[in-house]
Amino acid sequence: MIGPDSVVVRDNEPITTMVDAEVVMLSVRAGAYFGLGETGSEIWTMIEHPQAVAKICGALQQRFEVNEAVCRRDVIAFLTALHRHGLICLVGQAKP
Amino acid sequence: VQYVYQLHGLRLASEFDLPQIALRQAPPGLPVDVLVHTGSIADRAGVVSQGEFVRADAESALMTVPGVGYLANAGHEVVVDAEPDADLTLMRLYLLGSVLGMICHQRGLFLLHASAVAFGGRAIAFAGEQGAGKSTLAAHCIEGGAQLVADDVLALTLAADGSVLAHPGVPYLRLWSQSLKSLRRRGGADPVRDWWRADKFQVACDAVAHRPVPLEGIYILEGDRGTRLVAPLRGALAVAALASQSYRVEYVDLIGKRGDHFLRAATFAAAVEVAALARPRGLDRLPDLARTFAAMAEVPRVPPGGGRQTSIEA
Repeated sequence: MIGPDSVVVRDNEPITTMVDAEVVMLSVRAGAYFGLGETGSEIWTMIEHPQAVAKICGALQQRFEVNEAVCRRDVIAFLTALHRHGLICLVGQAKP
Repeated sequence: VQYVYQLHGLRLASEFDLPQIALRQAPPGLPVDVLVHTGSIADRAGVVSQGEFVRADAESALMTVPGVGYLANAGHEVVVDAEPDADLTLMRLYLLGSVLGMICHQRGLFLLHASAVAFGGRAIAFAGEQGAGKSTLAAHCIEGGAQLVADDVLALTLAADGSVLAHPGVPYLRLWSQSLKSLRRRGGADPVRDWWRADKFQVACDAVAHRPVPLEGIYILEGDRGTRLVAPLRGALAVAALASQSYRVEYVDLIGKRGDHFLRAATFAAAVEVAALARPRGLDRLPDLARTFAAMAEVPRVPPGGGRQTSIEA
């Protein structure tokens, strides 16, 4: 379960590249291609190294006009989907 | 004696002639990319397959068909081990199809399962599953004045300026008998019955491109969805379309190159327009579609820089 205090990082299995300004991935393990879209691609660049979910939300809120609750909900939903497909790892909990 | 051909952008030297690609014969003397020769394949005994690679690793791949064994080595050599009573037509068909496909994958050359035509020096490609209408649409484009670049198998490379080049492939079209009837053919050589299927014919083309042609677009032919005719594909959709429409894409797993192949598909998806084309139902509507492509080819392209070079002097 991913929450605001979770720390996440990219899994190193998928092969990733950029096409048309979006991150495109092949996961042989998942047997699928993935495209992350514009905001998803930004989040992907933020989690090259382990990053707390709250920090990701903070960075996005500085870039976009979005309220905190909506931002958290969407980011957590996105990261949960990535996690379900094995594209990211949960590496711990940030100290609140 | 050595026969030299230029096919899929490769110089192919063969110990025996390849009549299907006689039009692709090239002058000897230049460096050769792929050498085809006869020889015995030591560990072929007891190996039985019907045109699948039975043993493949990063370096070499072994395939057998009745009476013939092929060993594809590191992208630059094919050893053909044929028994005296082997069917030599079949031997050549597998050599130019699956075996050359494996050689290209070993080399990291990107092959699309597509037919391509050129209108005035600009090529477009039609990809899609068997029976999607690639060759028939190409045939109608050729009736409308286009040149054939390749049928069924199309090799792509990236030029130094970032543009994509479509390389000449086989110089004939393989058409179903009913597609053949829909064409207004005048003169030319008689169609040859296809080895694989009784209701398919090889039709030689007079208008054939002999040099690589810059590729403007790749259309993935799909069934009629009754809505939009052309839907551009972007990002992951374009990459997935090109990766899955590669020729003999299953070979990349055999030789452990799935990742490289994916990155190559991404490079081409970024460099050329990819679109899904809902094919109109019925052969009678293909000539119209071919005319649309011919008309699109007439539209001048905006030069890099937005076409603002021309200034009006006061």
